[in-house]
Amino acid sequence: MARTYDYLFKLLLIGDSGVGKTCVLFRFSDDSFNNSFISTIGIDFKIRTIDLDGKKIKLQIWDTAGQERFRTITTAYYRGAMGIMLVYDITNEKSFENIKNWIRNIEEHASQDVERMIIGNKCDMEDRRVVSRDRGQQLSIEYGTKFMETSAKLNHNIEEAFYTLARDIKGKMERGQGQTVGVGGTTGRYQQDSTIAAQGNNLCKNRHTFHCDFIAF
Amino acid sequence: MNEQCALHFTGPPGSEVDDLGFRRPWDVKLDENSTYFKAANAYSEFWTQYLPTLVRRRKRWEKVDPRTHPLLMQRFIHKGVPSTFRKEIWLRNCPPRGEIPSTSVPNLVAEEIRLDLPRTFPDNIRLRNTKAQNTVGRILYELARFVPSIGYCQGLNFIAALLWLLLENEERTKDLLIFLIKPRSSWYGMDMSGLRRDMRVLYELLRQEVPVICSTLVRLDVGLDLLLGKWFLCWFLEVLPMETVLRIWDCFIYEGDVWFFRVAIRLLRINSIKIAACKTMDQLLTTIQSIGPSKPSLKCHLLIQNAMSEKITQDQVDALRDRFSKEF
Ligand SMILES: Nc1nc2c(ncn2[C@@H]2O[C@H](COP(=O)(O)OP(=O)(O)OP(=O)(O)O)[C@@H](O)[C@H]2O)c(=O)[nH]1
Ligand SMILES: [Mg+2]
Repeated sequence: MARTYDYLFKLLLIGDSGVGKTCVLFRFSDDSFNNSFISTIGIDFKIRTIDLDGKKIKLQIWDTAGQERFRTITTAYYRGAMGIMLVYDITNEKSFENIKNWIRNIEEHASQDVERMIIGNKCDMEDRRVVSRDRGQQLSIEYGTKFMETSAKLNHNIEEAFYTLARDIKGKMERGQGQTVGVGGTTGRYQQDSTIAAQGNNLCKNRHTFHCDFIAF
Repeated sequence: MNEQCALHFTGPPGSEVDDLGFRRPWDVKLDENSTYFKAANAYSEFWTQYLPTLVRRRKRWEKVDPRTHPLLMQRFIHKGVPSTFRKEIWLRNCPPRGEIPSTSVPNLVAEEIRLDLPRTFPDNIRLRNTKAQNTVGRILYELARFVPSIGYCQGLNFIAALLWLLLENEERTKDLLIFLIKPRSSWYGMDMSGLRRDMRVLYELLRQEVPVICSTLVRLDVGLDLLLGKWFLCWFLEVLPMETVLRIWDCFIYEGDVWFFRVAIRLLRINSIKIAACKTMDQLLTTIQSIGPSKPSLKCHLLIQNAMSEKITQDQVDALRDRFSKEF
């Protein structure tokens, strides 16, 4: 089967419950926004293929549950991500303060050289803003990440955010860095079952090449 | 939002809104190009087959009254509790919840609940107003009072709302919710240890029953908690079609959560070839997600019958729970 893309990038959306991760993702993948979304239980993903400087890039974007307790389930899957969007809500102070905790979470569970980006969502609600643009900017400087304010509702900066993150990953990759991205070992959950794995089949042989489809997530 | 199937609507294909307040997601006059065309057809076909069953079961319940014979009752419940009897049967063994504990609920918990109220069955017309949403909020708040180790866990919103839509009584909904959640509080607590333990139990059962599922999980290094956690947390709500969910709950409320295991194993067995063919984690997740809107999931009568033939008992599940509890 011919591959219809040049690169596959796995991205991850994290941040507090209710900041709008699912809305941001739907805006990007389906170009729609409605008020009938339900809270995310566990994990979900969407695909969109984009053109970037003449290359077809398939973005596989994982959307996670924001409620803290779900981290016990989802963090094991951070390790395959090449890019992570940390999302807060500009009308919610706590969601902004928690970005620090989410970053700590990434440092513990994701690959060392994962590309990170901080997103302040719901910027259409200027009248209810409690986190200034400057503070968002400041935080991103502190952590050395890119920063953007978005609105899933008005489709503001959503494309730009994903394209920027994808471009950064691509750049890093083409410079020959980031080779370890996606090679974060295993979750360790099936150690006692490794014999079964061996019997399974050897499809995983290629999992350590960078842009193949077998990168463990 | 789910275009392959009517996830919530359980009414006759010609009606706009069903008894629980869920809207039919497609127009009556549906043209072939509509994304819902297939779903609407599948639903009509299912309904035509299922209606005689519903009518027959209701007549049987009215005539025989199984409530006095435990064995008869069990058989009758497996075949589906008619909607006119459901309230009473579900509440049959449910005691009042007792004195309110003196512990106070942290503000944060109330906030978490509030956040999810508009995100709970937005397609339900009875839940569209703040008054109804506040009722669901109070029900969840009461649970947080009675089971402080949980506080609030996402997913409970769907369970609470469905119980309320069906029972139409706030106080009894609180009773039943607390009665059903308390024994499973470790599924919903901060570390979700009970859920992970039960996923380990399910894995062990699958090892005997459908081993190819286990080898696929190991090969792709994916845990059941991630794939099926939602099935258990939400008791199949937002996963399987509503009528199927109600049929599973009939059995679960009467006989215990062994039914979640039976249904899960049966659904995985039906799809085991597709699952074994998955080469990546995303393919696997997509395959699992496609189980919800599939025809075997819609055909609830057959599914329950088949799940019953999965020879797993509650004792067996509980014994495995004991065995694995130390690990979590
Ligand atoms: N005004 C405005 N509202 C938004 C925007 N994005 C999301 N929302 C609203 O915020 C609420 C939560 O959005 P979700 O996308 O469900 O939040 P989430 O981050 O996925 O939350 P969890 O799934 O619980 O982790 C929804 O009711 C949306 O209507 C935005 O850009 N502007
Ligand atoms: Mg979400």
